[in-house]
Amino acid sequence: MPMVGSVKRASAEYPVLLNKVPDAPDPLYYLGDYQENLFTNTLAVVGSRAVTLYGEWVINTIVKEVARNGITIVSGFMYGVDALAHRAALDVEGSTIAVMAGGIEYIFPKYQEQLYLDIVARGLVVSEFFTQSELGKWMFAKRNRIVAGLAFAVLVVEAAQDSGSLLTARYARQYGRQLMTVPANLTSANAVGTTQLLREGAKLVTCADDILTLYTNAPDNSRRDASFAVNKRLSLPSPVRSAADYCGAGDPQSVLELLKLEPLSSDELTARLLVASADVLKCLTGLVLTGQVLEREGRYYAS
Amino acid sequence: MDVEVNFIDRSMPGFDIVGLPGREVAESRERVKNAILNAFNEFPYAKKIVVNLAPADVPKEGSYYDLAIAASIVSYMKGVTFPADSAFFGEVSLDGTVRSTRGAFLFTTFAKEHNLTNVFVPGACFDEVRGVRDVNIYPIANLRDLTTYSIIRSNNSMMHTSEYAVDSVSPESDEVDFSEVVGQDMAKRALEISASGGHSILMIGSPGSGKSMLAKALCRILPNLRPEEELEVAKIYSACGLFDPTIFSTKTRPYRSPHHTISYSGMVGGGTIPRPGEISLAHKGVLFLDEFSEFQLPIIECLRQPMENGSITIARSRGSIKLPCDFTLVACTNPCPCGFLGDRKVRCTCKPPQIDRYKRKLSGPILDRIDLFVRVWTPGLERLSESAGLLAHREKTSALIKDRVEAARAIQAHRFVGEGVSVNAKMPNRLVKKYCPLSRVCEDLLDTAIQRCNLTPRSVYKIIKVARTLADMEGAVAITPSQLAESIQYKNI
Repeated sequence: MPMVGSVKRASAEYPVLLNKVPDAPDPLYYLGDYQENLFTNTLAVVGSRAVTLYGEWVINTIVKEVARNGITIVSGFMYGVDALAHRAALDVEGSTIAVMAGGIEYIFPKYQEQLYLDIVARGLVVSEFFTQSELGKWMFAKRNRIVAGLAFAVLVVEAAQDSGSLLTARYARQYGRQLMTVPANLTSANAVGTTQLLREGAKLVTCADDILTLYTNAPDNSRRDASFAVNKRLSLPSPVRSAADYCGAGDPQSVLELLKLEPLSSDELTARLLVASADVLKCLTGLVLTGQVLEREGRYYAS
Repeated sequence: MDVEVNFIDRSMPGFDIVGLPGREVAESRERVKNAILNAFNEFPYAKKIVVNLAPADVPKEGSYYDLAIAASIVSYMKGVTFPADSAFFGEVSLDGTVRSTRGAFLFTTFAKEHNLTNVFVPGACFDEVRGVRDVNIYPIANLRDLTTYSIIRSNNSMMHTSEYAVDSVSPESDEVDFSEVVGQDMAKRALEISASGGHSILMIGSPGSGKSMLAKALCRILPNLRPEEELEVAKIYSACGLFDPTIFSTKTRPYRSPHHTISYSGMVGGGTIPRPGEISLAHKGVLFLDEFSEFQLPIIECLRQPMENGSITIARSRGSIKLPCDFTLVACTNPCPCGFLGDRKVRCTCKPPQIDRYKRKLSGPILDRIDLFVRVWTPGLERLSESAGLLAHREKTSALIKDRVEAARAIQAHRFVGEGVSVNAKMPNRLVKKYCPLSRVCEDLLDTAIQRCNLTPRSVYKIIKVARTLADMEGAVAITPSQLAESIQYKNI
């Protein structure tokens, strides 16, 4: 039953990890179903607002798996990595906490209202402020310390130079929390920040287990296989035909091989494969309909 | 309109025009009187002249009644008789010459349709109308010619429409040949599909990616106008005073590219005296809208109905007119406000909400009505030289592509005899059911696509129509899953 309330630092229900932060908010306001065990095993997921498809893939693959194992995902409700992380946790019936920059009732950005309502219903929304009608940049910085403060470990997904998520990373180091990041393509502007973190000693993550091993008493391991199977079943449309049925002179396999290396447009595929554009398009349809490839902004990505 | 003239002896002298004459028609009086005076040095002053423009309850506008009024007076003055089924058209000048008047071709074909075999037109308009067969055309340069008209009559029963003097047919300097465009295979393929089946197309690309160039290249592969289409287009252009006789020899389809600051009535037609707008001037041709996102939303909205119906009704207080506007829409736009979303070299500087808003402006009204979506990419320099070498032999010239397009159009012409449409893109749903039966495999493929890609019913019909055109391009009778598969990718955005 979602409720609005507040916890004082002095009380027993205040999140233990957050209490270790010297200037922790007092009180902490919340909206939702306040359960203490929500704060035990937490992973903060932060990153660039201009998230790329790669970041999306990381969140949907790795973070979802982590959430499925009972880890609470904490983030800042900003568009980009934050919003995707919240959504990922909700999609697998996991727990999530959104730390709002403004008051707990101030939904920013506005068009994420549905996400906000979902988090209130199935997770928790917290903030340092009860009501705040104006947002200033300083409030985002203050919110970042709460995100780091609530977290047992912090995962940075993508970060450009001078990204706000690097500030959260700095707080994490200050508070002695484990800092982690995923590798990224050097060609991406979003790799500058995460590469810097790696150089400074952040832990390299390539799969969900790299994160899960940090949590010695993670609950709900049993939920893993059941929900995984359910999700697998739902994603297949029926009836599914093999892509080769209608690909003309094109070979869907060679298209897929190229796409596994990097995302490409249909013109780029045509230039590399030296077949007719029409045949490439037929292969792409086959691959899209069987779920092996998806299209975004005119380019195709192996999923 | 009938022009009746009565000359009354026993009345105060005067000269009146009745029959709801508009301003220019009322002024006819002075023009005609002076013209006759200067041409013949006489005028029936002593009589009371009443000119009636029938029917009396319809307002008359325009200056082309002059010749008819003058002819009736000259007929009385000089005892000239004109043949029974004659039509007169033209404005007179004060000195007696008959001026070139807008709409001569339209008038002549109209007269022909109403079994008026003799048409008197200004001499300056002769070029415009001489191609019209089965009418006797009398070019009248000066009112004096009215007395000797039987000699002036041009013997055009032997003249062929193709004998229109083709003085200067210089190729448009900014036209592009397909073989000049390197790469861009998907766009070129889509443009060929558009030309073959009349499908609308939206090209999305960064500034400098070449989308405008591609759209201009479309000119050269458009199929020639069919005879009945020639007539329709000529009439519209004649009504605007833009008639170009070379249309009958080159048979080029209209290609209109209005700037995005165009007004509503400029696009749709209208004004105080209804004139055809750009969409009608693009009838049976291409309406090219560059910088599509810069057009005002109401103007984009007003394209919806014409694209659906092929005609537009402009209503005015005095009545409404229906103008044809069966055009193919070709549009270009950027992917986001800064233009570089998805570009490999230049980073997009737009915030996600901006991109969202930009996309939403295009969505809904017009997106669902576009058949083909193509992403155009700025070619990398290294690719230019590499592809130029490897693929040069594959680059087809526009002439070659046009032949293929003509072949596909011929199949459609044969298919749609008596059906009221001329191209696949304009098939109403019942004709889609009739001419595009799908095999079980095809239906399954479509079902999967509907689920995966969230297709609306309108999108599904468009996919089938494009597949039909693809089949025609290959000369296939039935639509194969392979063609459907290709067609789906043009809608997958």
